[in-house]
Amino acid sequence: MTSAVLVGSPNSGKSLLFNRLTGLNQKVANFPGVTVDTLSGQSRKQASVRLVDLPGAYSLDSLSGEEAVAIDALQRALQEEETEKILFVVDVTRLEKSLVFALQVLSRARRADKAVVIAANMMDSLGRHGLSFDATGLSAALGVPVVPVSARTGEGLGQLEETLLTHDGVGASAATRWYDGGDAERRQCAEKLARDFGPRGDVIIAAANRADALFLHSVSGALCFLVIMYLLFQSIFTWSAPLMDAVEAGLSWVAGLVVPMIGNTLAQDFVSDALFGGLGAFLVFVPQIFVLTLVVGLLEDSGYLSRAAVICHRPLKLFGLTGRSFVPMLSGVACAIPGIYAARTVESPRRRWLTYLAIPLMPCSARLPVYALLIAAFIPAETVLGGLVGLQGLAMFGIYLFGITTGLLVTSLVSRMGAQRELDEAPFVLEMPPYRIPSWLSLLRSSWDRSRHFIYRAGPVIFWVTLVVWVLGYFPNRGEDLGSSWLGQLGRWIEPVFTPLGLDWTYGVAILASFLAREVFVGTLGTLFGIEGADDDVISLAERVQASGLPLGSGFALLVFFAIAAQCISTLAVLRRESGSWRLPVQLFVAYSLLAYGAAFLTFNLVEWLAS
Amino acid sequence: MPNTLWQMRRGDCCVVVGFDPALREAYRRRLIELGFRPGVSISCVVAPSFGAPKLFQVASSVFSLERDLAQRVLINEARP
Repeated sequence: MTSAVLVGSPNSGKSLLFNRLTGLNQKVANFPGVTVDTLSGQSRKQASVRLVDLPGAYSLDSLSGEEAVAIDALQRALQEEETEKILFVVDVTRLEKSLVFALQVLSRARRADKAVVIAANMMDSLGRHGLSFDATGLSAALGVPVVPVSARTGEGLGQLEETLLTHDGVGASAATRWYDGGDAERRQCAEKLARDFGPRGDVIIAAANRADALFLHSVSGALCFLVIMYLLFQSIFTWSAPLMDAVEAGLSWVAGLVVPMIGNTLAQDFVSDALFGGLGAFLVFVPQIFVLTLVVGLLEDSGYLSRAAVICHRPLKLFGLTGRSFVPMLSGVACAIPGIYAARTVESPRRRWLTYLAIPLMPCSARLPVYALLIAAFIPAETVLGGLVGLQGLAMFGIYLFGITTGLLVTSLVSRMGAQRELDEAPFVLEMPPYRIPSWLSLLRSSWDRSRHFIYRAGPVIFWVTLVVWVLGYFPNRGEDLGSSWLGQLGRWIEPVFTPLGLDWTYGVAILASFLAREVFVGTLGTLFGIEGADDDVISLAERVQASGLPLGSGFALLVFFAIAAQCISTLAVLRRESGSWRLPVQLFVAYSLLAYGAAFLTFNLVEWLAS
Repeated sequence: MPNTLWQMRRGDCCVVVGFDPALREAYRRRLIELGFRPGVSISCVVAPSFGAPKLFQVASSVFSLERDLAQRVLINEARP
């Protein structure tokens, strides 16, 4: 059994290579205290090779500190007994930069007596531009094997595994003159090596620069940005609609098959109301989370997100943020938790703190089920402008925009509340990664992982909440009359809080339950309407909401409430961990709850006044 | 008034000669780490209007620098 760690810069295609080598059946080890995942997996072809994927870093002694966690893990791995070999991934399109880091690692590895194999990744990119790379020459100069590969196309992977298994030399002594020496010396070495063996000319960077001239131009760049963002939000609705229909049809088919087979009335009611009504209503929305992660991942892998950060820098600065806040905030559109982790890259502590305030207001995918339900219930599924623009997609765009605008208004307000103005404002510097053709394999995989993770994390919570809600709503009169059930009595007690929003107690109960996690709202409502529904047909929840006679104003008030309220325990816990105290999450929770209620109250009255 | 990186327009080239003394030590080191060293030639890839950050190419990397920072990198002279 050979164990090897994968090392390389974040943009070298390291993770894709890892997935290619290990296949899809890998285990995710989430070490407590370390907020980045360290993955390990068995090689697919050579079962005796075990690979460990370390988080990416740019150098072993970074000044910025943002990669501290990654560097720590790397230093530890270099010392550990278990680590036998190091697979260093270089990006041949940016050889010089990769080699500076490679020389550092080679020097440490030699001292720790570990064998190194270099994978020269991105060979397909070179091929596309008609460039070549001298692997044999570089290998001879460094004294370690250099294997040209392309993680994207799979080229050279067999040879890489073979080399990884057989090679165990530490590096010929003739080559040591490259390894040791100071920073400046290493840079010169890397420069010379890249010049001697690397691809000639800067064809690739010239192509990227032409693309940047388009994407970052004051007019065309802004236009591209708006179109891309609009497509992102439209895709959430239009691409996922067939998938959602399929899940819904599948679920009602299974329900129709299973429910009549259950003899016991009580069990039958439980399965159809709580399981299919509650849990099923939530499962229908998983395809949307999948599509959203896919599209955000597509933008990230293509290299466009860094350009978007540059475009957003000036506008975000007006709101007290920085261009670096853009990626955390956009990640927050998928889920606040990776967004909060991503905020580590915001260098200025003050702006990082402001970014924390904005992230929970980003329209995360857990809000999606709630939005989708309410929009499906209140907005007709029609298209305007000759079928180009769907009204429901437009409404989704609107409510997303509302969340983002609220986030920006909050940060701009808080940043102007003097007192803690900070002198130390880190200036904005950002490296532009090369444009790349994204790999569908890794995109689909990470979207699938995210969706599965979402089901596993939210599923049990939703199950227990729907179970409790169902028991309280079903007894003591066995589902005959929801109004006089235990839940009904409880609901009427809290109803006065929600009456000003035009909501009756069923919605009140669902909102209270959703403070655990917002997606619980849909499941709870599904269970409640499931008990109430006299017929046993599984009809869509949106139709039941329509039939419940909810006023238009209340629908909008609910949208606004869910856009603002910080109803997610996981987010608050992560905020505590990242900010170091409960102060921020508690203040944020109270403030956003009050703001959400106030804004919902205004919305309800405004819409009802306009409608009358 | 010395020449600075911020004066560059799209397509311009220059050589870094030093840093404004007002630039904080941490950022000076960071810039050097990224490759903005005295004697290095730099070209401007994109210079959008409205004061948006400009893109500069150093060796085979491209970085985006905002005005506050680019103004503190001194250059010989920007020429096309």
